Order: sequence, then structure tokens, then C-alpha cells
Amino acid sequence: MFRVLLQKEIQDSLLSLRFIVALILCLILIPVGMYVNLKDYEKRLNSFHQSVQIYQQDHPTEQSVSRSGGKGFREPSLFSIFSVGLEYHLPTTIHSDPQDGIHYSNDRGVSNPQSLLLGKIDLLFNVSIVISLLALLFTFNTVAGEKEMGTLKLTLSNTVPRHIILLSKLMGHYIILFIPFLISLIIGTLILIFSGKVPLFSGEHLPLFLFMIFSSMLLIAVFFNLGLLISSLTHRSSTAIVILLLLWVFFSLAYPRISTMIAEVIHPAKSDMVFSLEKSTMLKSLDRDERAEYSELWERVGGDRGLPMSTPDSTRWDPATQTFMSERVAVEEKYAQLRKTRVSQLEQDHQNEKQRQSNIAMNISRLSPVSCYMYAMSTLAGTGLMEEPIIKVTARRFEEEMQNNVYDKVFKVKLKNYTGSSSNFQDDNPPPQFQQTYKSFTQILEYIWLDMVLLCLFNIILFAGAYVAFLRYDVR
Amino acid sequence: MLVNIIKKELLDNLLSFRFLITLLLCIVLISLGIFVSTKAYKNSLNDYQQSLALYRESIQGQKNAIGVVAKGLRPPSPFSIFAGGLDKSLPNEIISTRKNGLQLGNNRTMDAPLSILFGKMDFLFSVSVVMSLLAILFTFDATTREKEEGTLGLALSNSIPRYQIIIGKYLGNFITFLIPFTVAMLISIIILSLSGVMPLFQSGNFVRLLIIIGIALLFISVFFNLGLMVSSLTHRSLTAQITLLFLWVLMIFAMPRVSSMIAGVIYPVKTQQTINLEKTLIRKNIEDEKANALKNIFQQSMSGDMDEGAKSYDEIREPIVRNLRDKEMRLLDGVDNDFLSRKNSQLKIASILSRLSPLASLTFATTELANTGLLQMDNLFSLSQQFHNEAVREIHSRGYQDDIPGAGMRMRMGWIGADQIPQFQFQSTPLNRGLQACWVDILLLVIFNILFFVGAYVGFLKYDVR
Repeated sequence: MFRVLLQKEIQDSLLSLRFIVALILCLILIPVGMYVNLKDYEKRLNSFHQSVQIYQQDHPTEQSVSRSGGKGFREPSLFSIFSVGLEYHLPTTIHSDPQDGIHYSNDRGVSNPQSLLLGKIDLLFNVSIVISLLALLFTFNTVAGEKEMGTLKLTLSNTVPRHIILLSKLMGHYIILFIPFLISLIIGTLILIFSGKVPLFSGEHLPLFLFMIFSSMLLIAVFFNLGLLISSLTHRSSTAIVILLLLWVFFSLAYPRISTMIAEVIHPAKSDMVFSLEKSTMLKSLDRDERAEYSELWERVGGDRGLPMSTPDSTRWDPATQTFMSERVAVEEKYAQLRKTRVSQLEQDHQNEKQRQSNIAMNISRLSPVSCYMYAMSTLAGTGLMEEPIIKVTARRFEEEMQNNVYDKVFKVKLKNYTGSSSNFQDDNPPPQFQQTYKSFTQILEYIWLDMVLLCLFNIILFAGAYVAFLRYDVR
Repeated sequence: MLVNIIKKELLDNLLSFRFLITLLLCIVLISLGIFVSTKAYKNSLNDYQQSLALYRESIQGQKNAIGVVAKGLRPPSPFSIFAGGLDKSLPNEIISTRKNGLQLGNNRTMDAPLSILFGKMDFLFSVSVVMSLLAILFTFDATTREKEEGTLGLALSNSIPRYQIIIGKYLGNFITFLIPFTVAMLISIIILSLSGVMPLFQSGNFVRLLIIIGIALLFISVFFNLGLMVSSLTHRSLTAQITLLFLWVLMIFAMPRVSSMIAGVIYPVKTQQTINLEKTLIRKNIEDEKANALKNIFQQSMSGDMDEGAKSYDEIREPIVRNLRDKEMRLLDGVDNDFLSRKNSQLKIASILSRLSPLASLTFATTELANTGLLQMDNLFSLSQQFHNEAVREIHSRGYQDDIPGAGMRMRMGWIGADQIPQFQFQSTPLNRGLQACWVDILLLVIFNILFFVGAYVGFLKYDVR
């Protein structure tokens, strides 16, 4: 009986206007979106390789980076083709300055202002906005409409259990929407593979890609179940469609945006700009104090005329410089320690504040399945909220390497108004390279498990609701 | 008779479920959006003022022209409360240095990652997505429901011209919608004036606000007319509904986004990163050329008497350095202008393609008036260039620090007062220039309205009521 009902649902929808609309929309939006994002990714990848090449050419040795500091570049995320996420906002360059610490910069500029004003198309957008709407369109009158037409009575007058009817409706409509989605996805994937630039089937990428498809299917199922639920709760299809559209607008568009803005109001965090200004003010004042202590020390050891000799060769030092050099070590260490602890304290506090606000916002927003989907997809695509902390950790590691291999070899003498330096580079070693952190699949899963569980939960709850509502549905 | 029809439509709607939902959504989304946008704007403004104060403090004791980093900061646009536009994406830091020339930076990119992921909840979003959908929900069954229920036949059996019915439907539905919209706008204006971020009743601001609201109403009216048109061309509510949703998705989501992406593929433009790399390369080459030239001069002048040599080095280097600086500026300007003209061509193609959808016209017009659009971008770039030129004139051309290969550094101080460092004054575009930029879009919205209303009119005139 289930097979027969399933066939009926499929054939019914296959010849309808809705199917044609779904086919057209999917075929236009999904492959075009993938193709355009692919071209954009290729451009960004080229810029990245160029930047790395030019940097390595200009800075072949450790000495060459000792004054200007070391630079690292962030490789564009392959799966930003599927989910743009934060890709255009993450830093492109990480600069380790010997004086000021780490700077992040984003030199993409405003290359395409119209895209910024009107928005981009990626798989995430297509599924969470277009296909979810289509899912609602397919199911809104599946129960209420049949009641209005009178065919539901006829079906139920047979010995068909109600749950079989419901399941056949769900499966039938899902398969029908899945056809255009699958076709356009295959076309899009073929475009990507034929370009040669997207190693979709490599060991590290394939599981991510499959998981992205899986979460998309979960989200589409949520909207199918929602459509079924509302259709089983109303008796007129026009009421059902109005309610569904409003729910869709609320959960898909309005609620995620509201929740993040509410979190910003509940728990405001200092902006990055003010934070970096405070950090550089603090560093400057520490620098001033350090220099004052050095000048004091120099006066004490009787170096009131001239300046200490700034050469690492201790045989050429005069007695004043010798005393100065041995005593300054303590001062240097004290300030290095102060700097390290204060900076890491400031950064830790700022990071915690931002993280707390982010967590509040995320948790509030998880009431909408679209938010859960968004978090899962962007994390899988490498353009989500996991990226910024990882970049910061990598940058700090890079800075430590630069400190150990480069900055420590620069011999500096600092007084109030004087800085003498000379360097001590024996070999022509290449400078440390910025190594992008590789995220393992299990790490990513750990990050998104909650969202995936929530998506499954939404499906179960909504289907249970539809089941109960249909069981009690008055067919007369 | 027209008034009676309008009254009937009004009463019909007022007691319906749709009206209640519209009231709720309008009030919640618009007022909440304005409230939160106001808070965000206040924070941005605070950040800007703090940064400016800290910058001014840091340049207080600056006496040496060498190593001066002249900074300019762009304040957030007050009307970004209504239409975020490019406000968060445009550079907000203009840095002019001797070594790296003019650099535009944006240090707010990672401030609110969740806002970036989901998008903003500003007035523009509420109007363009939510209100347009509500407009469709009001009118999709305007004609078809009455036909299905049989009341259209009854109405038409009276001696009432068909055009009065269709005009009455449009006006009745639109006025019903105006009620919650007006309530929401009043609440928002109260919130805005209570917050004190903007002197709302200063003439310029109030007129601007009225025009923005007017454009929003024009846009919503387009969708009312579209709903009426499709309803008058179909005979079942269900068909009308599906067709309208399809058109809505196409106009609001598909066409605007696809057009800018297609323009990027038809007419590709190099990325900003590539351009920056090219400029860095040019600067490096000029630096090398300068170093070589200076080395020669230095060797020549130092071959004789030290004092005489120093003076002659000063004199000889000046014209050579100036020539090289002009050459560098020419080359850099060449790269910039080339890039700019290609970007503008791509932008033109994209904007023409996107204007097939009324959403594009709404977005462009509203962002231009809110000073968060393309005009603001052009304004920023030209003011930055002016700022840099002034900095070069007043600061970067005084004194020098030449790194002569093989002979160390040769320096001559340039003493300046802190008040010689140019201050960046950012002026927003005045209202009349903004209107000049967006009259095309306003006209397009009017044309869409007329087009769809004529479609509804003709469709209804030929409508088979049986």
C-alpha cells in the first residue's frame, strides 16, 4: 500500500507547475553559483600564490626579515565555493612586527561593491533560502488541499493506516524535490571537477563534501516536516501557505539576524579597533618606562657622556658599557616578562569577551534550524567561526618562531631617545614560514556535533507533531 | 462608488488573520531593527571618536617629518541605521606614509562575525524581503478568491465600471498595509529621537528620512501591483500563489545576486590584492632606482670636502628625488586608474543587469540617500587622494632619510609642527547630489508600478468571472 501511495504522490507532483518551477530555479541557481564562486576562488588562489612567491623572493634570509618583521598569508578556503561565510572578512595577511606584535590585515578592498550590496549566491544560500521555500511550496497543501478537494476522505475510507499515508506524502514530496536538487548538484560538481582546480575526491575533502550534502538534505527535510505539520493543523490550504510563509520568513531570515543583534546588546564586547589601540598604547608606555630605566642605569654606571657602544663584540666595549651591559639584562628580562604577561592578559580577556558574546548569540539563534545549518556548513567549508581562533593560534606560534630564530639575534641597546642595533646572523638561513594549521575531520565534527544533533532533533519533533496532528485530523 | 469599494476592501482586511500578522511583523521587525541598528551605530561612533582622540594625542609631540604616519578616519554614516549598505565594508582608516604611500584599511572586518554570516536586520532588509512578501500575501488572492467565492460575480452585476474595482482593490489593500507600516515607523522615529544619535528634525535629515520612506513605499507598492496583476491573470488562488512566490524569489533573491556575479564573469577584473602587489613592485623598483642614483651622487659629492659635499648632495638629490617621485606617482596612478576604469565598467554592466529587478533600484536608491552606497565609496577615494597629496606636500617632502647602499643612512631632519599634519575631514554627500545619483532608480520603481498596474488593469478588464 505504501508503494502505491508513494507512486501516486510522485506522479501527482511530477506533472505540476511546482515541479517545473523547482527545476528551473535549481538548474539556474546552483550551477551558476558554483561556477562563479569557482572563478572567484581561482583568482584568490592566484593572488595568494603570488603574494607568497614575492615575499619569499624578497626575504630569502633571516636577516632580511629582522627589521620589517615576518609575514604570513592565509590560503583561501577551497570550500568557500560552497559557503562563502566569513571568507571575505578573514585576514589575508598576518604580519609579525618586532615592536608591535601581530597585525592582521585584509587587503581585499571593495573589489565588487555591487556583490556587497546585493549579496552572493552559494550552495548555503540556495539551500537555506530557495530550496527550503520550495519544500514549503510542495507540502503546504498536501493534507489541507486534499481535504478541500475531497480526495483525502476517499483515501482514508480504505483500510490504510494513517501513518502510512503521512509517510508516503513525506517521502513522495521529498523524492520529487530531490530530483532537481540532485541534477543541479551533479551539474555543479561536474563543472568544479572539470576545472581541475578542485580536488573534490581527495581523502581530506571528500568526507567534508559528503557531510555538507548530508546537512543540506537534513535542512530540506526539516522544512518538509514543517510543511506537513502546518498542513495537518489547518483546514484550508490558503491559511496553511500564509502561516508557512510567515514562519519561513521568521525562522529563515529574521530570527537568526535578530538573535545576533540581541546578543550584541545584552553582552557588548569591545570592538577590535579599540582593543588594538589600547594594546598599542600599553606597549608604548611600557617601552617608555623601559627606556627610562635604561637611561637611569646608564647614568648610574657613569656613562653620562656619550652612549653605550652598540656592537655585539664585547672586546671593544669600554668599562662603562661593560657594566651597563651586564646590569641591563635584568631590566630587559623584567620588561620582556611584563610585556608578555600584559599582552597575553589583554588578548585573553578580549578573546573571552568576544567568545562569550558569540556563544550567547549562537545559542539564542539555534532555535532556528537555519542557524544550525549555517554553522554546520560554514564550519565544514572552512569559512566559519572556528577559523578566527585557529588563525590567532597559528599567528602566535609563528611569532614565537620569529622571536626565537630572528628577533633574539638582533642586538639592541635602547635608551630614552636612542636605539642602536646590530645583528648577529651567522648563516643565511631562510626565515620561518607561516604554516597554516590543518584541521582534522574529527576536530571539525567536534565543533558541529551540536548543530547536527539539533537538525536531527528538529526533524524528529516536527515529524512527530505532524504525525499526531494528522492522526487527529478531521477529514469531514 | 470607488470609496465604497475601498472601504469594503479595508474592512475585509482589517478583520483578517493576515492583517494581524502584518501588524506584528512590521512593528517587531522594523522597530527592533532600528533599535538595534541605533545601538550598533552608537558603538561605531564611539569607536571612531576614541580612535580619533588617541591618534590626535599620539601626534602631539611629533616634530620630525620623517616617519610620520598621517592618518584619517572615516566616521560611520548616521543613516546607516536605515540601510547598512557598504558602511561596514568601506575602509575606515586612511594611512599616508612616506614609504608606502596611500593605504586604505578596514580594521572592523572581524568585529561581528555572526552579523556577517547571517546579514543585517536593517530597515532596508525588512522592507525589501519581509514587506514585499507581505504585499504578495495581501494581494495574491485579491481577484481569484472573490471569483472562487462567487462575490466577484455579484459585485460586477452592478453598474460599476471594472476599472473602479481594480483601483479600489489596489487602494484598499495598500491603505490597509499603510496602517501597521505607519505605526512601526512612528515607533522607530521615537526610538531614534530618544537615542539622540541624530538631530532628526534638522531639515536635511528629516527630508532625507521622508524620501527614504517614500522610496520604500514605492517599492512595496510594486509588489502590490504585481500581486494584483498575477491574481487578475489566473483563475485559481493556488496558481496565483505559486506564480507569485516564484516571481518573488526570482526578483528578490535570484536576479540581483546573479547579475553581479555574471558581470564578474563577463567582464573580469583583477583583484585588489593583485593590484596591491603590482603597486608594491612598482614602489620597490623605484626605490632601487633611487638608491642607485643616490649612491652615485653620494660618491661624487663625498669625494671632495665633507661640508661642501654635504651641501652639494642636498642640492643635487632634490630634483632627482622629485623626478623619481613624480615617475612613481605616474606609474601608480596609471595602475590605479586602469583598475578603476575596469571596475567601473564591470559595475555598469552589473547595475544594468540587476535593475531588471525592483530590489536593485530600491537598494541603490536607499543606500545612496543613506550615504552608504557607491557615491560614498567614490567620495571616500577622492578625499583620501586629496589627503595624501596634502600630506606629501606638507610632510613627506620635508627632510629625507636615504638608505645609500654600501654607505649607510644619510638623513636630514625636516622639522614640523604637529598642526602641519593634515587633518582628514570627511564630508558626506549633500542631499541634492544623492538625489541626482538615484533619480534613475526612483523612476524605474515608478515605471514598474505603472507597468504592473496596467497589467492588472488589462487582465481584470478581460477577466472571465463565470
